[in-house]
Amino acid sequence: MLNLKKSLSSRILFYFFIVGTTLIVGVFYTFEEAGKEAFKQMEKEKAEVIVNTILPTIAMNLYLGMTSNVNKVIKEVTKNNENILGITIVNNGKVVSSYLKKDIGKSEYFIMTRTIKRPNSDESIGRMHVIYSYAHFKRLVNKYSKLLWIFLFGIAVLLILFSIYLEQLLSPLKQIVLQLSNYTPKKTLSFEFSDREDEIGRISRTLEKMQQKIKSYALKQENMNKILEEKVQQKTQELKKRLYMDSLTGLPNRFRLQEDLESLQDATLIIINIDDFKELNDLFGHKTGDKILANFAQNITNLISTNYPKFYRFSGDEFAMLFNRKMTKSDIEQFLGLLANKIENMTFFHGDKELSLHVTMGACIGKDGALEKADIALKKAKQHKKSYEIYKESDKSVERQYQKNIEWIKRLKKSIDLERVVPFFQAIVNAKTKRPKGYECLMRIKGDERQIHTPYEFLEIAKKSRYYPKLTQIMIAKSCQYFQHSNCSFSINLSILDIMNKEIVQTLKESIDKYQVANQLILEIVESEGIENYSLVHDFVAEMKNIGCQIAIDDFGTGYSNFEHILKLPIDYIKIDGSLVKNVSTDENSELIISTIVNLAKKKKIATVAEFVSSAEIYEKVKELGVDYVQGYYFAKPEEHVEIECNQ
Amino acid sequence: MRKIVLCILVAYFARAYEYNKLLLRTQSSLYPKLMLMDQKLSSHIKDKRIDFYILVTAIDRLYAKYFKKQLDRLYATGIGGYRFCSKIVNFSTFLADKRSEADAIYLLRAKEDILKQVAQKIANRRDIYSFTYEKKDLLYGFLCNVAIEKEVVIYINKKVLLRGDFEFLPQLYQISRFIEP
Repeated sequence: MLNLKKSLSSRILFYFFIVGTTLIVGVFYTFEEAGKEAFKQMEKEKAEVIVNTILPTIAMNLYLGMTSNVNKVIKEVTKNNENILGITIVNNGKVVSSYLKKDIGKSEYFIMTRTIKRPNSDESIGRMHVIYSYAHFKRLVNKYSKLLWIFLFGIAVLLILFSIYLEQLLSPLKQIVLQLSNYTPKKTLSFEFSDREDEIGRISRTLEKMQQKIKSYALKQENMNKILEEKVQQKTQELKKRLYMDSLTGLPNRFRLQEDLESLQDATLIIINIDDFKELNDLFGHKTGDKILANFAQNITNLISTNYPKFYRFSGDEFAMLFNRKMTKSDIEQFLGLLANKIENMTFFHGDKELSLHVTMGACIGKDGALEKADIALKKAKQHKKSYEIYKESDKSVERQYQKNIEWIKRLKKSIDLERVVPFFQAIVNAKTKRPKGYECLMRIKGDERQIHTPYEFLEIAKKSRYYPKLTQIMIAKSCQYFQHSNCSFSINLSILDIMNKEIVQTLKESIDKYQVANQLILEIVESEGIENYSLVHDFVAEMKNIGCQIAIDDFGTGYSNFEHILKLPIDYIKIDGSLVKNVSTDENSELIISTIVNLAKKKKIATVAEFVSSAEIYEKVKELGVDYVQGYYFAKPEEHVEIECNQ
Repeated sequence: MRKIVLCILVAYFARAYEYNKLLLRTQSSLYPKLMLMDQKLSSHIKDKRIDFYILVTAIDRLYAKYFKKQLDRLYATGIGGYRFCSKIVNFSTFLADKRSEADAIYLLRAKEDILKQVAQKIANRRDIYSFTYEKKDLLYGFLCNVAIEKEVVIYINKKVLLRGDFEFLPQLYQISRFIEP
């Protein structure tokens, strides 16, 4: 298939062929038709001339009744003219005279009819029918067609010759294109047509000039590329360095550690964390902190004279040390002890002040999961407030807990997103009447399979996550909404963390305002967590009391709070800690503490609530001790939906 | 015997003066038509009537009548828009008539001197058509004769034609033969 788009000469020749053929065919048909028509007309005119020539004579003879003369005339005319096949003279519907050639049946002809008029008059005296043959016409047409064909053949030959000439004319262009298609700036092409005077020669010369320019440009470009490549290499090195190097200390970073770990056959890893470095930063500023970190890194590096262990900076106040072999437990213990000692003896200066650092270290013997394991060991050391720990297989449980915590964080987020955080309500019953006075709102999370999770499973993790305030906010909003049309009191647990969080306090105020539940709401402040900032709590309690809320101290009797401070708060309820209540029937000390709390409360006109009342025996005992309200499984479990009509 | 010889002689001479009726019919048919071939006919015939005189001697009166009868039959309604009026006139009457109204004359057989006189008489008139029964009579100075030879032949006296005020259709000349005395 001819690719017209790719070749200019092919396109020219193709269209030339199309135009030529169309022209030839068009000319042939036009001329043939015109010729035929002309010849036909010519024959008719000839016939006309003959008819007009003989007609007066025939008219004269016919008029004069000289039919023999008429016969003679038409016979002579017919004989002398091969194109006339016959003539018939008709007068008054009768054939007066007729002469027809014998072979008339085989011929093609046309009939020309003329009225015979009386000489010197318009009076009709008959009709003359002249049968005129097409034979001559056909001969003429054939001859003409033949000539036309020869002419057109000549034209076609000329066109072909012209096409060949055109092809030859354009062939230099093709050659130039072929040469150019293999062109690279390194090659020097020589065009053989450059000495020609025509356009091809000019193109060739221009291309040669262009070639020189491109060559010099390419040379420049090549040099520039080399420079750029060097620069790129330099930058790559720099970036690599940045990627694998800590800019502050000049130590290799976590990425390098990971790569080194992978490249080693066996390893021992130590993670070193500077204790309370945050405080140091806060106290002396980050600039000093960074300087100390750099000095620390330098000091440790100075301790290492061999290739291994290698020293790395993880991030912030965390460093790592990597050995390229599996050390024995005793060796690593000895090393860790020595290192801890060396670090503690290091002195850092800030102005004229001497500073010393304490570190906690976690170590892992072996390459597999070294980072995680060393991290677990570090956490364990931190938990146990030891200077170092070495990862043991039994620490896997910590690892599992760690995994579990991560899962719980994900689950908490999901629960918030899917609104699966819901309040459950446990009745608080009047100890004397046994009738519900109100409800304590307890947080629950619904699992994927509709199972219910209690705060026991997630509260500690939640407090460490950023989702904790959101959980409290949800509880506040949903609890207030649930009791908005109720006459029951309801209590919400608030920790010191919650009170300190402005967003939570804001949500609390907004919910109280929105659902108009100030007079029903009891805020249970958890005492067991230990209240340090009493003025903040006092202000909060005063504000809430002012709004109309009541205040309860939860888990009273087990915490480390200052009784004096607590009793100065304008509280309405004391909720006696469940651990005391559940043993009240068996433990005299618990009974004594509860009795003291109740007496104290009564004197301060504070109502008391006993939690964890799980049996009739406990109930009877706390009732006997004078507790006002009771709460526990003996009366009701926490439920998602409860009766919201209460007897106050 | 003498009577027999006399009868034979009479019959012989009588046959000599006998007319060819076919020729008479042909001539009666053609002569008026030939007049119409003249494109100046209308200028010659002012009264729209063609007066066609059949000049005859007493002896041929019977044939003259026959001729007239043929004419009257053929052209009873006129010819070419002209009324046609044929009249048998003796040569002597015609020669004596100084103001003849004849538009055309047809001459049956007559003596040479009579024919010469008639020719002499019409020579002054350029608009009179003269036809003869006999072809040879043309030579005396008459215009046209139709003879039956192998076929019908029209003879025209070229001298009379040129002398007269005639303008016949060219086709007529094509089919005619000219006599030049």
